[in-house]
Amino acid sequence: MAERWLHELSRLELLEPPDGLWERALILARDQADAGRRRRSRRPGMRKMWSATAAAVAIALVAAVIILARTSGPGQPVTGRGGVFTDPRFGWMVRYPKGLLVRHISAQYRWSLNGVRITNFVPDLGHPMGDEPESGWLRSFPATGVAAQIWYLGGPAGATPSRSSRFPLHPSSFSRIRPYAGGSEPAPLYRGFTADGFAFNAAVWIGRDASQAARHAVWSVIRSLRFPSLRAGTIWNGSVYVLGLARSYPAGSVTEFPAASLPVGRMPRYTRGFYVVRSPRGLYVIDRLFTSPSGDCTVAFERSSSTFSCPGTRLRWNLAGREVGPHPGPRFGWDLSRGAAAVATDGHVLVSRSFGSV
Amino acid sequence: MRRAAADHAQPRTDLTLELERLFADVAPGLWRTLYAFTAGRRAVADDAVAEAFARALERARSIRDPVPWLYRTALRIAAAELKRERAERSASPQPPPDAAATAQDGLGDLVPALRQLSPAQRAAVVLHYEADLPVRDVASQMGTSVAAVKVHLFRGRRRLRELLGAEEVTDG
Repeated sequence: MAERWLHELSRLELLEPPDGLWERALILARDQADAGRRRRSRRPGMRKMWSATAAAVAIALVAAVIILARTSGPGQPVTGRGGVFTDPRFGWMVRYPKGLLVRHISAQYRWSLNGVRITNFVPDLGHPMGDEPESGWLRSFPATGVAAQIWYLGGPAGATPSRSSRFPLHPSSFSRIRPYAGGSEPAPLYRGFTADGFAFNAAVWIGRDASQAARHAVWSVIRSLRFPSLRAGTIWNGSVYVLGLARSYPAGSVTEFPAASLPVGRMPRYTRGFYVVRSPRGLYVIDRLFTSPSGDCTVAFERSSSTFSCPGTRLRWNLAGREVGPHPGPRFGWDLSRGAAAVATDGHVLVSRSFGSV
Repeated sequence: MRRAAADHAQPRTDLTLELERLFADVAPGLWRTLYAFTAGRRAVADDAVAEAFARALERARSIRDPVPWLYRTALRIAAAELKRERAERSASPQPPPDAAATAQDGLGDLVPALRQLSPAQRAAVVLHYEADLPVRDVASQMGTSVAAVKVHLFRGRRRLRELLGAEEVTDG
């Protein structure tokens, strides 16, 4: 038990910092070290501060190597043996053939951005445009270049994608759209797709003189996209309950998940659990907590009448959560809270407070 | 391949490795503290954490106790940024940023309530209740006296009780 204000404060524990902060710190340290070096070169007399600046010089050396590795020869083709990239947030994977440069992209703008950029050249990152995701590098796109980007851009909860897209993503499902940045950027091929309750984006750029091998390579990356298998009874992505396979919930079924049966995680919870309802039109979730002006109740399900009820009251709801019994006040606000459920790419049912309402 | 590998795995020294480990341990709590201190300003919290660690990278050998140093530094950076923003807003009033994001974070009640506290009250409350620091350490982080921290805590608690309620609730 805790006072409500303290309870609210403890909800901060549910938050996680965005990805990429450490990388930002490294870049800032590099910039500060560079600035320090420039100041010292203008004021030779200050060189006696060796001990205090030794760390800064070390950082500058490290940073110089980073800069060299990251930015040498923008536009130049790259070599490499290929491999597998695994997204640190969602766990999806792409396989990339040799000759492609792969970079995890992550940033915290107004919403959190997470994804991967794949190019057969070194992108020029020196002229950012400040958009989401950053597209300044596209302005100097080589004629022989190919590139792909797959990204998630979190935002306000909207409609939850209830069904995952079909994989592999086929090139014919992409549409040509206007260039993002202009310059020498070729018009990208774009499509959105959904997986495991979240919406993602994919885009492919192909330079006019790109070789057949390069074109094949970039599409092979897109075709290789796979999402991880999930395990029932776990929390995925820090915020999503993984339930059983969708086929185990027959049409018309109502399955109860009391709070005690759910795995514990640092995330917004259904404090009293929920029911998963399989209607002919899909899956949704009914919150077991009903809050009315006269108090809270734990919603019960009566199989004989296929209705939800508040024990000890005359409140009744149908399977859709619509109030059917007598109600003491205006009708508005007396329906049960109905949340979205999603079906993962591997068929598991997913439930999360972060999914929208239906 | 060499270039691709270098692109992923940046060259590291022992110093950066040590700080990277510290980052993994400290950054989540530090970021949450700053999120609360800035009343839901994610961008300011991000900048302050990154900047504090950047300064730590520069001065690592001269920092004796890095955790309190990081908290102190990040709080100062965030406070300066908030002050700068307040000055800018008074010149051209704008709605407080990140309102939608705080609702998205599921903290739609807490963040507006934190905004009602003074910066010193917020700092004291979050350091004591979120970062779990004893009052003496809170005073040291804030660069003030124990007595002053107790006053900030008393007033901050009282205000949060008024705004969010004092009734007992279960954590489940």
